[in-house]
Amino acid sequence: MDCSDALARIPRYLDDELLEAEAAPLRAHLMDCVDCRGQVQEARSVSAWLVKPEPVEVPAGFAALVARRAIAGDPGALTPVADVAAGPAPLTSAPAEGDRMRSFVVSAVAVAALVLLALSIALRRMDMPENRGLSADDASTDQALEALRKMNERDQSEDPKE
Amino acid sequence: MVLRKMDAAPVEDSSLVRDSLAGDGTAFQLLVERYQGRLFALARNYTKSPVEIEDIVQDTFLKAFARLDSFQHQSSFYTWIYRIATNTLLDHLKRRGRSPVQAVEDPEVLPNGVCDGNLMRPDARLQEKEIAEITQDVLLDLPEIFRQVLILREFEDMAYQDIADLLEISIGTVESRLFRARNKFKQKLLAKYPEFAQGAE
Ligand SMILES: [Zn+2]
Repeated sequence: MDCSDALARIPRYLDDELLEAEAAPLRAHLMDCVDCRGQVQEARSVSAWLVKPEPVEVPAGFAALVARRAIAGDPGALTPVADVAAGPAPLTSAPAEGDRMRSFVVSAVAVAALVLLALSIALRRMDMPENRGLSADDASTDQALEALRKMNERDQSEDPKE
Repeated sequence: MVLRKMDAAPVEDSSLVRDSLAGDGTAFQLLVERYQGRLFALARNYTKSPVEIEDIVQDTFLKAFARLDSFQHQSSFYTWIYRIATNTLLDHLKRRGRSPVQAVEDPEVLPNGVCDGNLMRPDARLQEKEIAEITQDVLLDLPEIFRQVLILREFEDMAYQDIADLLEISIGTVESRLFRARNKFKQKLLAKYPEFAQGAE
């Protein structure tokens, strides 16, 4: 095995994606080759910087609350709830409006849900998250998602040789 | 209707979905309980505010319920809800004025990472928590398609094949994307924190 073969295999080797038959010759090469060992070290250093954030605990009763809302017809995407629930500080006046205006079509069902929402807002924890950047800029997320999809498709067609 | 015995094998997602569609709130609650942890962890990669995370995950489940009839049983429930969660997250960040630009940014047009300069291992004096904060800071600066694969591989420990299925891309794409993502991550890390370059001290 030469260095270019070895380098091509190192990521899969570190990700545990090689069959033993592929890993063995790589290990042999690494024994002999300082340069490639250096590449392994470097890759490990990068991984060492990828540390999972501390988890946030799921609040007790979360699933029951969500299920109740769902059954009551709350369709989600009702950001105003989030903003109201976010806490007392920014409620001073209208600042949340920009964020809140996500065209929120209140269907008959949703009205029923609102009663529930109000209830659960009251129940919600009131601690304050860091300041929310309330940008009123509301260009379509669909565009962003569409662009992502396109990238995915294009990415598909440029699969690495092998 | 599927009979649920308390001590029998866990009920299949697909039957919970069926019961939920029939209006059974308990069935949906079980589904939420089953996946809430993973979705909280996923959302945690995008924000540290517990309230925001809760909102995002809640919104994800509500959207999922509202379109539960479009769930195709050939994909796993997690795959399906993961996509809803991702969209919800991006949407949310977008409204906070964060990241959508990054999400659309074409990774191909970025100056390509000839990574000279090596990275130090995290200093032993840094606490795990501090490293995680740096990680998150850097991750949030990456285009979404890179952030995504790094989270799935490094944090969720998923195999290439599972990532490929989840993102509906080929294994080869997973591999090449991960490769570019790690390079990009390293570049950004060095750019934001030059003190972590080898020989910087
Ligand atoms: Zn070599």
